[in-house]
Amino acid sequence: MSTKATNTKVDPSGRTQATKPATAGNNLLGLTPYLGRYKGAIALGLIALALMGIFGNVIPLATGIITDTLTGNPEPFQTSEHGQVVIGATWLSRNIPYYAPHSHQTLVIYCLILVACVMLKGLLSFSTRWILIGVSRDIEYDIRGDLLSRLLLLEPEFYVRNRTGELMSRATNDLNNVRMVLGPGIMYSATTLVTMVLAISVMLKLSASLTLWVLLPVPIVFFAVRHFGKIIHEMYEQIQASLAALSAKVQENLSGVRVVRAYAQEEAELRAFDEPNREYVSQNVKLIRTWSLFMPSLQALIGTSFLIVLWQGGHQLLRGQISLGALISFYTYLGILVWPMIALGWVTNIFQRGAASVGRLNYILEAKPRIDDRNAIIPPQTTIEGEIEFRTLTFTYPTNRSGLDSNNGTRSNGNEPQSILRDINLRIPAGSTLAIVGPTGSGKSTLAALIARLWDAPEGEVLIDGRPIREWPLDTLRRSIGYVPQETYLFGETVGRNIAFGLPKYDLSQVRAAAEVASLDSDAEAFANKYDTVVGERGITLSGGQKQRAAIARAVIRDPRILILDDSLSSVDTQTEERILTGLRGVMRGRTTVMISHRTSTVQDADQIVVLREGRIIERGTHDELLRRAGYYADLYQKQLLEEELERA
Amino acid sequence: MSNTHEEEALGKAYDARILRRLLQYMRPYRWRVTLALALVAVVTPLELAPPRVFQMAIDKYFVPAMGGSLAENEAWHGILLLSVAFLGVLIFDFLAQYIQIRIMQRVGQQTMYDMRGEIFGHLQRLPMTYYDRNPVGRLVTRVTTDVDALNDLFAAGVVTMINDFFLLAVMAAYLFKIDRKLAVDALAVLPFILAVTYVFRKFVRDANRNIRTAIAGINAFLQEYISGMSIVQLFNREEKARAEFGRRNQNNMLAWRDAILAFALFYPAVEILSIATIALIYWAGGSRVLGSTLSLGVLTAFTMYATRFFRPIQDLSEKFNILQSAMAASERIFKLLDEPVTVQSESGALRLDGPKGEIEFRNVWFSYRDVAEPTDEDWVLRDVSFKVMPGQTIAIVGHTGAGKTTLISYCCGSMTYSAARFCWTA
Repeated sequence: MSTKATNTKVDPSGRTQATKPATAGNNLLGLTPYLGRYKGAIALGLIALALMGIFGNVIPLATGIITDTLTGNPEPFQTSEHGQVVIGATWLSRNIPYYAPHSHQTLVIYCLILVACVMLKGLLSFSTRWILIGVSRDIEYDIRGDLLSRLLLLEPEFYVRNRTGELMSRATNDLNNVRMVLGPGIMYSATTLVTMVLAISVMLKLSASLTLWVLLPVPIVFFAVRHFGKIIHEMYEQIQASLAALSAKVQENLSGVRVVRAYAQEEAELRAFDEPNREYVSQNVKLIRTWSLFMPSLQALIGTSFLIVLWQGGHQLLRGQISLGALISFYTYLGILVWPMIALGWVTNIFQRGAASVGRLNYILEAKPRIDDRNAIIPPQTTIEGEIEFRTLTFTYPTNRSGLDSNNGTRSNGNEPQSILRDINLRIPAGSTLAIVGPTGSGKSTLAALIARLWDAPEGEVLIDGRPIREWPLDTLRRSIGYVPQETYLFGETVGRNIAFGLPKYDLSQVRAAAEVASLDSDAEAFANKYDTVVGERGITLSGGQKQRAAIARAVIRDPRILILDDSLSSVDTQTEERILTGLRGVMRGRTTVMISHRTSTVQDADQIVVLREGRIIERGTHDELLRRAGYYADLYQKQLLEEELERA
Repeated sequence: MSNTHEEEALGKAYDARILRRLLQYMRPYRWRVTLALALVAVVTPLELAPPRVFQMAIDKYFVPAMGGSLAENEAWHGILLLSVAFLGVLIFDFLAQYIQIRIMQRVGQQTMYDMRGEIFGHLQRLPMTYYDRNPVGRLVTRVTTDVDALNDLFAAGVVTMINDFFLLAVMAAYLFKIDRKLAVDALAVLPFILAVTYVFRKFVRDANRNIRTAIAGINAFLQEYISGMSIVQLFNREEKARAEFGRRNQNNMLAWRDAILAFALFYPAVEILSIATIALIYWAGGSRVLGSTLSLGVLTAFTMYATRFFRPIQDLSEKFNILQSAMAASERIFKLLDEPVTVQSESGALRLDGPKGEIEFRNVWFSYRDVAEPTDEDWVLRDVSFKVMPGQTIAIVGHTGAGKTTLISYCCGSMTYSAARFCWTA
């Protein structure tokens, strides 16, 4: 297990705090390998962005020059009151050609410069956005792909520790937060930097003191956006949570509508609904309080900057320190600085949130698979014969959360984790059939799961064909196994594709043959689109028995050396069971079969039957031998015989 | 997934009947709404004030002072007065906007609260057959997502739309008032803005639809494969899963490309249009300033106004989409609310004051199909008569589909009567 995972704390809700927020900056550095792949594009985007800043910066200057030409100022941005030049940007007048006061020609030239600059700026801003935001989507694609690849490698234990919902939220919300850093985060911080540096350096040339005055509101805007942004974000999350609560309430009520009516609980339900409804409204009202303050105050703060241009700029103009053109330029510069001012606060929030999310993504991306091929030394193309052996196997689930296995048998009553299997010695010759019976929670499913390495048994305690199971490549091992799990899980595809799930290529004739073995053929033919009928989410449109038979077909179609049937006939009636067993018997011939069942009728033909109880083998032998022993098995047999007779009566 | 298209179907943006019915919900809050609307008359002039202030500063103080016809002292006095006025504008604008947003958002929330309660209450009274026809998930959407879509309309939509309309109208009128010729130049950009905005919105809407579909595809896949991970691994399905996920992942990326393109084109287009307008104003107006037929202040004010067309127009086009989805949502909601409640205590119904518990079925016939002449197979219960005395326990036995559950549902009043005579006896 990865060191990261050992360091994380799992609180009861299953949420995992990956890393402390203090390491936020370091977290973001983790993104550099992803950025590295696109460094050419990013560099290009940033160059475009810088050029865009330069052209954008000319626009306010041009408006100022036009104004000065109209006022008849002999040199733009220079004031000559009583014949003396007080202050001015002489470097500008030297670099600005064709300038003449009161000249129509100058006016036209600068109007054209204005248009040319905004066109170029537009072109560059298009490229910037297209490249930089595009790269962020590319990286999002890469990270998402990596997330899935990692998830595919992680063993069931990881999924016991981390709930689906939690993993989903990492793969969606956190990924989005990271994407925000890579796209708007980088783009807007660069834009802000470039625009501010360029604009401020020109403004300083025009009038240093006015620049300082005008920028007074900037820090206030920064902190306001940062502060409000954070609060609004938190409130928004709370609103989402209360909306979820509201939905859950409605869902619960509507799903149980018959019960509600039967017990005449409508009035009570209305009252019960009122609470989440009210809560949702009050959460929203809280946000409104902040929001209604935030937007107007932002507007007022930015307005203050313009007020300062009028007040302090007017003061300097009247004292002959700046020209009217310079004042208008300041006004226009403020116009292009408004967004960077806001972006400053906004972007810091994006980075902060993103850093936390990188940590949460790394929890998946850096999770080390515990079950892998590190000890695999057998060449992958070796075929497995199917002999299985357990040697003094004792197994304990590594995680202390209870109820994690499908048979619910691992509830530990103290701090000491209890062994689910103890001292199991068992050899299943290749091609033979082993049946496992025993009460719920005795460890039957666990034993089967160890054969497919869903969990790892202690080293050397499970052997396949005489070799320790870990020496087999995982892929080779699992390719040789047809597994019918206790709890059927189908995918929202067609019946046919579900059956062919483990085939490299879809083949209808194989699907048909497998369905026939599992007695699903007549059902499937009766579906609206036969094998092309979509089974819905988790196979919701199929009955329990149909699902189980689809799962059997899915295992059989792989032509496996080892067939594992984990209580896989529980949802079919005895007649169908008989039919399936007949079909399976043909398939089982020559294959190693491990069959778990509660019914003695299912297992009586097995070569070997073991009875598990509290993780130990308490009886073993053939059907006849076990009957003679008059133990648990014989008892079970008698009971079921009796039941059958009652049914027949 | 198959429902998303149906759920997203955008109807007309305006339907007088629906709008009138929606406005009914605002009735209880009409005074507050009136106040918010009255504030429109305050906010608009305040938002138009800053360029006007600069115009006055330039024409009355800066230019005369620079020309030497006005003493520096007097000019400074005037600028100070204008600055104070500007400050006043900022403060009043802040207050007016604060009050307006606050009122409307609150009214929106209250309206939503009422509406949600009404829908939920109605759902409690609808006949069971309604639930057989409508999946629970969709009904949950009515109470949550659909109502929220209306919130956007109530809270922000109506008043901001009026705000924006008013702002545009007043601004155009004002520009015409101060200089008719220049106003024509300044407003020449409007058709272009409208066209660009329209195309952009349409583009973005299509892109968003694709994005939503793509994201739904990714999420559904993740949900399914994370939950069924051990099956994926047991059946060596990793490679195929990676390929399939890669496809969905790519779809998402491509869908976003469209949206990025739309935004990457739109923002520069807006800027080019507004700067081009400014250049046009400078060019046309500047010549007149040089010929002394236009004041510099007015010219400057025009360039400042020219950049102020975009926000309200962009706003309006955004609100138009909100209006569209709100109309679609309200249509769905009203359809639910108009669903007749069939089982109701009739006016003549007896109050059951502690019924003793005697139940009698007298010749009950029942069919789930709501047709005038049920065919023979339609009848679930046929002429059922029996009596249960208080305290008695009866057992109902029969095959699946024999009508056992229907019989029980009857007692609970879940079904409507057909040829029924069914008595609770007090």
